[in-house]
Amino acid sequence: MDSVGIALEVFAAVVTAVLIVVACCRKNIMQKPECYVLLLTCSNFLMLLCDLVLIAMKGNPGAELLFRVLWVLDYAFVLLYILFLHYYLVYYIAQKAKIPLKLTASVTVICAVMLCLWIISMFNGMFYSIDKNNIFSYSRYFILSQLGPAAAMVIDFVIILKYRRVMGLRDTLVWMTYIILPTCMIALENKYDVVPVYLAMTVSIMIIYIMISMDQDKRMVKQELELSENREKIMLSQIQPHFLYNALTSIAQLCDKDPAKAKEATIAFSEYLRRNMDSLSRRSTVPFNEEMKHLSTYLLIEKLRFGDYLNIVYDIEITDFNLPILTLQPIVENAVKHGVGQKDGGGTVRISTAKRADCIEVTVSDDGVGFDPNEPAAGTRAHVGLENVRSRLSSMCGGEMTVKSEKGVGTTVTIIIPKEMD
Amino acid sequence: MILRILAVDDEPLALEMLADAIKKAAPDAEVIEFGTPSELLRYAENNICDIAFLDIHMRGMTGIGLAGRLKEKLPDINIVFVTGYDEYAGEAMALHASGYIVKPVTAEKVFRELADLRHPV
Repeated sequence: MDSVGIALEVFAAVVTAVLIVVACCRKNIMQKPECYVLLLTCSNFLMLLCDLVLIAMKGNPGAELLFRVLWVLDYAFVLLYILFLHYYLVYYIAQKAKIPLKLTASVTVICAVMLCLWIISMFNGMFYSIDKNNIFSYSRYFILSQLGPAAAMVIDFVIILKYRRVMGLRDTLVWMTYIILPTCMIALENKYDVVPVYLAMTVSIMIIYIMISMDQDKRMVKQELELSENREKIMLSQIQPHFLYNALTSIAQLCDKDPAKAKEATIAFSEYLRRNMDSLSRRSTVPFNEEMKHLSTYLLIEKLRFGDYLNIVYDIEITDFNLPILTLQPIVENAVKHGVGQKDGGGTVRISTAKRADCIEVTVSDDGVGFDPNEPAAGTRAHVGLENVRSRLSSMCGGEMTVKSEKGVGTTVTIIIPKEMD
Repeated sequence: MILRILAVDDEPLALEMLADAIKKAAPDAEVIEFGTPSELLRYAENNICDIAFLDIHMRGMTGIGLAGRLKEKLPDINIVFVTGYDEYAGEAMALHASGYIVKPVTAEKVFRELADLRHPV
């Protein structure tokens, strides 16, 4: 082999090593199929290393055992490359469609059998022979040793054709190059040299990395979008535009009728807004009494709207504890808006706190219209609001929330706050 | 003939505001106020009415449901929905409503609806 060939092979090894480092750095955002790419790249790298050592030892007597072992390893790494490429393909498709795993078993068997035959020919010389001077020469049946890997490639090729609709045009074309490029080079191998195959494999790996990187970017953009949509929903559920407009309508009407009351309501409304805005940025727990104060501001405005239709009953046993900001008021608001507020003749909301052995229990119950817990609620504004309370409870103080409801009877929401956290 | 206009909202202050606005926009009309949907339905059994302003969020029955039942009794009535938050426009239009007002209700908003009614009065 000439020096250009060696240089190319060293270059391929360096590129592969860089790709391995890149893959390791991005491991946390890799999906399962992409882990096979890392294994595949490692196989390619080790294969290149074996090959370089073999080139160095070629024609120099001595270390005969090492030379032979390296020849076995060299072939083994090629088989592993093909195997991992196959696994990657299958798991890549499995993300999008059902794919029988029978094929995977057959490719694995082909690779195992070929490796055994390669080792056997070390002794009977059917594929190749190695002489005392560490010179490797092809035997009569060498071509057979290339048939196994080729068969595996053909299987992959058929899989790609079969699932081309699932993969889409871009993926199909890219996957074709992974298969066709090295295969063409194997065809050239006997004519020229073994180096083109290594280069083709390395180029294939580079294309795979570019594809993965593109997919990861796409996934990230999608996640980012979902996250910001969620954030928007949560913000809306915390600001409650519906309540704002109705409160302002009540206050506007009061301005003519009862200016003093209008002033009081405006102040309460401003306090309500400040607290809700604060809660968007604050991620800490606050004393229960603060939450109660916020609740009373909110209820003052609601009483303007609902008058005697809305009764509030307090049964406060304990106030000396902390809870996440904006926990109590949204639950009461739900009870008012979706419970009592929908019921002919109005109703009562009961707010109670109680001390338990290892926790504090806060309960908000109403005798409003209730709902059927089996009906899907996901996506509704009430649901987003309650889920937001639930997530803040668990992340800020390890608390829990349960919702019990029956149509026509009412709803009870219970919050459990662990004692060691208060 | 005197125009007869119905107004319903289960929040007393909002009802007052709505009625005030209607009276200002149509000083010669007869405005009848209701605190619940059922009171309005009972009235509509025995009386002919031209226009009804219906709040959408109400206890017991939504304004959308109320409009459907009102139309059964008085097919030619003009229905104008009133809501605190813009989220029912689609449903309201499906009911062939005459109009749609977003709170706070003002005389100008009511006037605009009265000038562009679906059924002649």
